[in-house]
Amino acid sequence: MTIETQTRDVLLRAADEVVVEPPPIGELLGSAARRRRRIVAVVAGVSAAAVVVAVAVVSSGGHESGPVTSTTPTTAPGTRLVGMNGVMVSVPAAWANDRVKCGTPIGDTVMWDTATVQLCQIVPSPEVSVLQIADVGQNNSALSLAQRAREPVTVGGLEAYRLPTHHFAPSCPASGPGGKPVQCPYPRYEGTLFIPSLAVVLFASSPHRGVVDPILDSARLIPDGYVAIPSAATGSELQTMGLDIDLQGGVGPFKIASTDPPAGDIVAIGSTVSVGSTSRDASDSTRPHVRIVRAHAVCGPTGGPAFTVAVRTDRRLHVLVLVVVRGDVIGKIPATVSPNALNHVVVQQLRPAGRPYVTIKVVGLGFSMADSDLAQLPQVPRTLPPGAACY
Amino acid sequence: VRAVTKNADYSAYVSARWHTLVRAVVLLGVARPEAEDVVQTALERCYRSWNSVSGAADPDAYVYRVVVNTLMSSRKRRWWGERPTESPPEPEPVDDLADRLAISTDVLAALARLTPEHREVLVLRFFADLSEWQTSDALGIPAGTVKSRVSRALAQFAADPAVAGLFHHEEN
Repeated sequence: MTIETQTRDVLLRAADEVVVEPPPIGELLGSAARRRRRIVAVVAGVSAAAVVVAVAVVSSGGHESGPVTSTTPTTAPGTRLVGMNGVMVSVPAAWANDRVKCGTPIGDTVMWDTATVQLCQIVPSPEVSVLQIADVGQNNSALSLAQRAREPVTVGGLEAYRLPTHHFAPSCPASGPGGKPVQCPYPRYEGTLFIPSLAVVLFASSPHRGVVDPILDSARLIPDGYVAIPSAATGSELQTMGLDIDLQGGVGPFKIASTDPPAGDIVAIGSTVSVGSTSRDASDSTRPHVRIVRAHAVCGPTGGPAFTVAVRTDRRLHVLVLVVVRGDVIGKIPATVSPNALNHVVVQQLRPAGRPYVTIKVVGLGFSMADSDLAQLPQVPRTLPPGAACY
Repeated sequence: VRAVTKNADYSAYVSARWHTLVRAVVLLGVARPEAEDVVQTALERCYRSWNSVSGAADPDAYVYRVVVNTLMSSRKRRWWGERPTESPPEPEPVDDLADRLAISTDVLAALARLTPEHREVLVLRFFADLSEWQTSDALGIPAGTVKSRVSRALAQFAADPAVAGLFHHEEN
């Protein structure tokens, strides 16, 4: 065997030992879709201007124009439209947005975020129906939901995937460790729809089968000239979508704030959106959203192993970033995280982990440890390559 | 329809090449999560010019060129803070995983002792399986330079004590 062949064999054998996560196709397509939407928004703005000019020319010429074909999005009586990233569905009109407490639905609702671990726990009601809408490029939990949808379908001509509606009835032990009672999820019907090119996943869950399918089957593309108001958006981001903004209560254009009309509503490009209004549930607006985007093992600035943790938040917060192994804190650092930026925090590992995996947690200062898990990323692997170490 | 076809082609390419691309970047001396970041960034760039990629004479060489450029620019931007050593301060736990990692540990250590230029040609030629011409295209260097670097890199790599036992040296 030649040295070239042997080298190829050695490299292939070594590379086979490197465990690689599955390709983030949804995230890659989502990133592209977001970029495309930004371009579309700009083009739409330019087109709208062109239409105004054209109408002016036609009017001044004295010619009569034909009837304008309306593509105003409509829905059946008793329902309302909600959407994200170019797709919309019909939900019962009584369903409010984000009717949640501590992350748990407390009434029939449309939820926008599934990534944040909340500040407390309450027992979910068995009678609640929920539609969760998420951007897979922003939300790893949503991506894992999306990856379960495998049945090819189309939505407005776009490639999409369904996890057909099924009955989910988990069996749980009568008691957990220490004889504590187990809170077993209630039996429910669940279904998922994933549209890769729009980076959107819709997950419907209800105790009634007749609720899930009509929602997911109603999915269609938002007509040209209209957009869905995104959740957790800044005024500046709304402007790039072609919307006019009315900043309320001293809210700046780069602050994430509630909107009126609320997230998910379908509005015409050029509409005015109030930013910083109090239309959302007041209890919800007090709940901080913190998300760990990624965490890597690195060498710390003063030597020794450390972790860089990238965090996003919707408001300025004082937090502790913890490195935890089986409940044991082996590294921590206080940090202040700000909205509208990816916050990078380096936390030094103070003593050996003793295991190849650690957990990164971000907890809010001022809350008890038991209640303040703002975000966590389980099983962050030690990522220094074999043979590498820190001085 | 064109967007759907583009997405389908792109998704198929990413599915087929993702693991190889990440492993190639790991062999170039980058920790696995950073390698995934580099490849993800490179593939995002490729998506934007997917017509050029899919229409290129050799799409793989094109993508590897983007990956190498992304890796170089990311290294210019940030300090990775990692240096090879033979004695990690915290021993890895002895378990099945550690045993399985024995070969890659030695191979990565031997690769780390090559110059970056020699490491790149070795990985692209013999792991990514690019031809001399493709490697020269991906690295932006003349094919003759690829040939001479490969020759020197092979000799140094095969003689490295960490991996010498993996080679069957012919008796004279």
